[in-house]
Amino acid sequence: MPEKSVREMSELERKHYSLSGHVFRSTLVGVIILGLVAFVIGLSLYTYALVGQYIGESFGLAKSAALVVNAVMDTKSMSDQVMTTYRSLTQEELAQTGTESYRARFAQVKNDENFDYLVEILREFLKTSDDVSDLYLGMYDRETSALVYIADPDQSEMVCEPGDWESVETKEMERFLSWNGEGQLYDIGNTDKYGWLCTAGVPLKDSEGNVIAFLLADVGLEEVLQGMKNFALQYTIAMIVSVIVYTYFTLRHTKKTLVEPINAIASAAEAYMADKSTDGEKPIDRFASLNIRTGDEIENLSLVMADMEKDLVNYVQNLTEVTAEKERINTELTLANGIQANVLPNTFPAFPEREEFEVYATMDPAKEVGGDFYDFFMIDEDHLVMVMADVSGKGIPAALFMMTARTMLKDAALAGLDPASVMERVNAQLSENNDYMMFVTVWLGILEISTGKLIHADAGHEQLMVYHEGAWKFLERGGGVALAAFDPEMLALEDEPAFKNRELMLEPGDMIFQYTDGVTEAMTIDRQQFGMNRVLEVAKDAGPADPTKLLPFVREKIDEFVQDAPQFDDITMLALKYKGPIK
Amino acid sequence: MSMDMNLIKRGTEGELQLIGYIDASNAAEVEKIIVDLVGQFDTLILDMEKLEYVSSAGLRAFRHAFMDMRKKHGTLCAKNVSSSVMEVFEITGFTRLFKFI
Repeated sequence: MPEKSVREMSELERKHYSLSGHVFRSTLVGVIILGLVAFVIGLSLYTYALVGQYIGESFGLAKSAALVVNAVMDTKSMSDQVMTTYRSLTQEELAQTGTESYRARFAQVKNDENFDYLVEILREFLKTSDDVSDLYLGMYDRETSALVYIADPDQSEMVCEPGDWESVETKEMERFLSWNGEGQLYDIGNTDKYGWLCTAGVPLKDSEGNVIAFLLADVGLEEVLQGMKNFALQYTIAMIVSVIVYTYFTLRHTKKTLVEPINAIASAAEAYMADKSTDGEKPIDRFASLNIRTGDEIENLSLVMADMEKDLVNYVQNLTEVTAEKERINTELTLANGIQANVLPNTFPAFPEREEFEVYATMDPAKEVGGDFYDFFMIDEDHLVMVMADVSGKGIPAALFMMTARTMLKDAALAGLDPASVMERVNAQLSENNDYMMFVTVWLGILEISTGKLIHADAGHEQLMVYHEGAWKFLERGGGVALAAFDPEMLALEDEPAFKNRELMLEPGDMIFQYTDGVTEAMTIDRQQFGMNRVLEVAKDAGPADPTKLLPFVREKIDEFVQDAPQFDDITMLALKYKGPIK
Repeated sequence: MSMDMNLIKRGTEGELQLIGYIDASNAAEVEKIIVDLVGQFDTLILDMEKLEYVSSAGLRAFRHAFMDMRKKHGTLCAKNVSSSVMEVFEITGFTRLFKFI
C-alpha cells in the first residue's frame, strides 16, 4: 500500500506531529518530578524542625523538673517502695494493673509526705508548656520490660496511679537506662493509647549514681501530623497552580517561537505546491514573504527555504523552457522522419502497368530519423534502377547526408551512367567538404527489363541475395568501398578500380533481395546477431517467390529472433521479381 | 559504456586495446578518444581482439582517425581483428584504413 504524503492527511491524522503536545508533556513531567522532589525535601525539613522543637521543649522541661525535684526531695524511697511492691507481684497480679485492688497495693506511696508535693511541682512545670501533654515520674523494670508509674500529675481519668505500668520496647528501655548524659534522651513511637508520641526523659540518680527513676515528658505529635497534612495540601495546591501557570506560559512561548513559525513554513510549502499544480500562474514568493523573525534556527530555515524556492522557481522555468525546446525538436524530428519516409517510393504495387517485374521495399526506422534508404525508378521504358544504401550513424546528420546521397545517385543514374560510374561520380561529389566524416554504403543495380540483364555495383554494401533456379544464394561481393569514405585521389592510387560493374542474367521467376545491416545485425538482448545464414534460411522458408510476402516474412522472423530486444538499427529491405519480357 | 579501452605507450607508438562493441550509443565517445590519440602518436595500433562488433557509426570513428593520421603522415594499424569485424571492414572497403599487423 503506498504511503500517504503528509499533504494528503486529515487534520486528525496529523495530530501526532503536534510540537505543542511534545512540549506540554515534557514540561508537565519535568515540573511534576521537580515538584515531588521539592515536596519530599520540604516536608522532611518541616517535620524535622517541628519535631526537633518538640523534643527540645519536652526534654528541657523534663530536665528542669528533674533538677528541681532532685534539689527539693528524695524520690528514692518512693521509687523503691513502688518498685519493690511491683517486683513482688506475680504475673496474674500484674495483669490487673489499673484496677482498684491493684492500686490498693501501692496506696502507701501516696501517703509519703513528699508525694503530693512532687505531684504539685510536676503540675506547676507542666503549666509552663503548651505543648507538653504530661510530665511524670516513672521507672523501668528490666525483667518485665515495663514502665512503672511513680507519680503522675494528670487530673483526668487517664491518670496513672503509682504502680500502674505499661509495656515498653526493650531496646528503647535499655537506651534510656544506659544513657550517658550526652544530647537529648527521647523516643518517638506510635502507641495505641496515646497515638504518635514523643517522650523525652531525664534520669534521677542517687548519690552512688544509680538510676532511681526517670522524669518523663510526653508531647503528642498529632499536631505535627496535622501540620504535615496542611503542608501537603497547601503545597499541592500551590504546585498545581504553578504548573498550570508555568505550562500555559511555556506553551504560549512554544507556540509563538516554534509551532507558529513552523506551521507558517509548512503552509508556505503547501501553498507553493498548490501554485505549482496550477501551472501557467506567475510564481509567488511564498517563503520569502514569510518574514519569520525568531532569530534562531527556524528563521534560518525559513531563509534557506526562501533561497530554495528562488532556485526552484528558476529551475522550473529553465526546465519548462528546455522541455518546450525539446518538444519542438521532437516535433521537428517526427516531421523530418515523415518527410524522409515520404521521399522514398512507398506506393505499391509501384508499377502496376508493368507485368515484366514486381518490386517491393520496406523501411522500419529504429527510433528516430535514420540513414537507411532504398530507391527505385525508371530511367527509360526499359531500364529500372534499384538502390539500397546505409549512411553511417543516425539522427539529423545521417538523414541530411542520406537526402544528399539519394539525390546525387538518382541524378547520376538518370544521366545514363553505368552503376560503377554512378558510384565514382557520387563518391567524388560526397567527398567534397565531407568534414563530418560521414559515409554511405550503397548497392545500385540497373535492370534491362527486355532481357533480364542486371548490371550492378556495390560501394561497401551487403552481399546481394539471388533466387535462381529455385534456390536462394548470396552473390560474392564486388569489393567496392563505401562512398565518401575515401576521396578519389586516394582511390586512384590503388591498382584496382574502386567500383566495378558486374552482370547478372535474371531468368523469368528469378528474384533478388537487397537489405541493410539492420537485417543481418538485428540483435537479441545478449547480443546474438541474426546473421546472413538465417536470412538465407528464412528466405528458403518464405514459400513461393513473391516480394510482397518475402519482406514481411523476414521481418516477422527477425522479431521472433530478437524477442524483447529494442530495435538497434533501421531495417530496410528491397526485393525484385523478374517475370520475363512480354511475349 | 559498452566499451573499455587500455592504452600502452611506447614513445611515438601507442597501442589501444578495444574491448566490447562500438555502436551508435558510444561511437561519438570512442571517436573522440581515438582521434585524440592519433594526435599524440605517429603510429597507433588498434588491438581488436576483444572488439565484438562495429556498427556503421563505429566505422566513422575509424575513418576519422584514418583521415587525421594520413594528414600527419602517420600509420594506423590494426591487429587481432576478429572475423566478424573483419567482415564488416571488407564489406565496406574499410580494410584500406588499416595496416594489418
